[in-house]
Order: sequence, then structure tokens, then C-alpha cells
Amino acid sequence: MATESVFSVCPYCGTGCGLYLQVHDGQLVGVRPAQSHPASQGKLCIKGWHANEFVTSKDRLTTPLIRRNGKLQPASWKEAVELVAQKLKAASPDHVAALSSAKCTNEENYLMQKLVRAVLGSNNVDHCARL
Amino acid sequence: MIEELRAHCKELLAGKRLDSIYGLGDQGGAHVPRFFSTVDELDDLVLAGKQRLIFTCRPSDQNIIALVQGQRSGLRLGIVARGCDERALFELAKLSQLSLDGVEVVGVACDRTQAEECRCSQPYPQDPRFGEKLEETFDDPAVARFRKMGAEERLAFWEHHLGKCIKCYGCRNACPLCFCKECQMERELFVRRGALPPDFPLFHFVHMMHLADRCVDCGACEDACPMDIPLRLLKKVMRGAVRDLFNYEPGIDPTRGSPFAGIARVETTHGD
Repeated sequence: MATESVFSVCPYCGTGCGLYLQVHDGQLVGVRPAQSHPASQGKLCIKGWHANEFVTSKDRLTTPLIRRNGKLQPASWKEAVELVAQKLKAASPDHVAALSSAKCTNEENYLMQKLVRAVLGSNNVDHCARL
Repeated sequence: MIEELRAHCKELLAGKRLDSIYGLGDQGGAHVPRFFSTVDELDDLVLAGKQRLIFTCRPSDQNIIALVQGQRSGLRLGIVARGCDERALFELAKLSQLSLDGVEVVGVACDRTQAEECRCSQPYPQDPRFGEKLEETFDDPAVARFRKMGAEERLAFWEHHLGKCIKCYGCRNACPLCFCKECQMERELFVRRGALPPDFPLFHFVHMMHLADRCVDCGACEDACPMDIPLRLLKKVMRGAVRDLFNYEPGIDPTRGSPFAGIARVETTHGD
């Protein structure tokens, strides 16, 4: 009868609310807000309250998909990254944009804008919070 | 008091009278509900904070005690319960959401500081083994202020506060007595999808009315609200009305069923 409260940070936005994943015998059974978390102080929004559900969702993507003959088909990461690289190389800088994410760390966001500006030569970089 | 409580719980486990103790545990300075299955683990047992013991797991809509009972039949479980925890246990048992068979409540009365902080109407379980029953009321001063308001003022008050709602469903999710598989607060008939704030006052009143004979005044709804809506006040006023009209307070008497149980329910059969 192993029941644990595993501390985590809500994966949805940049606020970083604290939550506990309720784990019972290795299964995720719920989410509880973390009362003592300095940012969220025991509150969550509707996304945080459901932060456990996507983990086992049957709709969750577990592999990259590549559209072939008009249909999305499972592909390996190698195939997917190579295809993206090939298309980015072929495109002119003004035809490329990157959307980074509030879910990423500062460092990841920094690297994204560096890639877009210094490598691809484009100024088209934005983030998901403006979508 | 905590040392005595730990010693008592250790005795219960060591003497094989109980298989497990459910209470709040210290985890890196934070207090989380957990099961203690060995004597050594009980060194981490704490009595603190507003963290509620009894909660509903989602998406299964099953409370944590029933979840554990379902996995291990005949489980002898000790629950370190404050007044609010015990009231929730009693109500859930009445509503067949858990079984009190094999459950031993280790009752702990809250001290004055905690009772004041929680604005608790009854800061003690039925038979506290630890702490003293504080008989005076620590009720919310907001209730007295609200009662002095006229109808117009009350309307404006609720229009202001309920208008802040971002429909996070935190009040519903945090409530130990909310376990409906089909929540009326998600029904298109009452709550329009994508509309913010939700229609005044239907969204919050559906919750309030559904909890009229269940609300145990634990305050979890208000604590969970990111918009600081005085939900506790709403529930306290409702509890007061049920007490005055039916002489009934949920969670106080484990043997007395809801007075609403005898009232025929007329459910709408319209589609959403």
C-alpha cells in the first residue's frame, strides 16, 4: 500500500505552480495543490487540477508524426529531425518562424532565439503565451 | 502533544491493532497526507497546516480512503482526524463513499490558534483523544457582516465576488464531499461552455445547493480559490439555513441521515 505525494511543478504555463502528484501503487490517481508553495500558495487553475490526466491519455503522442501522402504517420525522432533540418535549410529566413514555450526553461528559450537569429538568420521568434 | 500522538500511533501499529495510520506527514518541510505502515515512519507524523486529509482522487472520483479500502479488504486503518476531517469521514460514510468498518479515528482537537486561523465552527472531533474541545465559536466574522446587509447589498456583494470566477473548478475539486461522476457544474444546461465569468449566480449556487446537506465547513473550497472568492461564507450561510430549517448539521452525527433524503427529487429530463 504505497501512497506517495510527489512534488512537481505544473507543466502547463510559465507561472510554475506547485502541485503534488498523488501516486498510489505506481499509478497516478490525482493532483493536489501544494499549500506551502511560494508561487501558488495552494491554488491551481483548471489546467493544473488536471495535470495528471495527459500522462495516461490515449490521445497522447508517443512518437513524432510525419505527413506522408496527406496522412500523418509515425516516424522515428531521427527521421523527424532530419526532415525539419532539411526544410529549414531550404527555406529563406523570412519564411521561417519559431514559437518557443513558457513551459521551457530560460536556457532553452535562450537557445531557441539564438538558433533562430544566429543560425537561421530570422527575426521571427515568439512564444506560446502570445498565441 | 505531537510526541504523545506519535507514541499512541506507534503503539497501535506495534500492537498489531491496526495495519496502517493515515495522517499528515512531514516531507521536506511541507505537510502532505500519507499512510504510515511502520513504527519508524511515524516519526514524520505531524499536526499542522491547512492541508486536508480527505480528498477525492480524479479522474476516478473516488476518495483516498475508499481507494485504499478497495485494494485491501479488511484493512484496519487509523485516521488522525481533526474536526473537519472527521466530519468529512462521517458524511462520506453516510453517502456510501467509504466504509468506517475497520477505521479507528484518532481524534485531535485543534488549538486556539488553528481554530481561529480556520474560522472553524467546531474545531474538534466527536471524541478527541488529544487536545481539548474548544466550545466557543470561532465563526467567520464575515457571516455577521453579511447578515447585516440588505437584499440589494447582498446581491451587489455576490455579483462582485462571483464575477471574479475563472471557472477553474478548484472549489469543486478541493471539496471532500464532491464526488459525482456527472457534475452538474459541468452541465451545459447550467453552465455555458467557454463563458467567463460563469452565469451569475447559477454556477456557484449549483455547487452550494448540491452541498447544502453535505458541507462539513472545512474551508477547502475557499483555500483553493485563486480569485479569493469568499466561498466559505456562501457555504456557512447555507449551512446556517439548513440548521435553522431542518435542525441538521452535516458531519456532526454519524447516525443521522440527511433530512433531504425524504424529499422527492424532481430531476429535469430535458436534454442539455
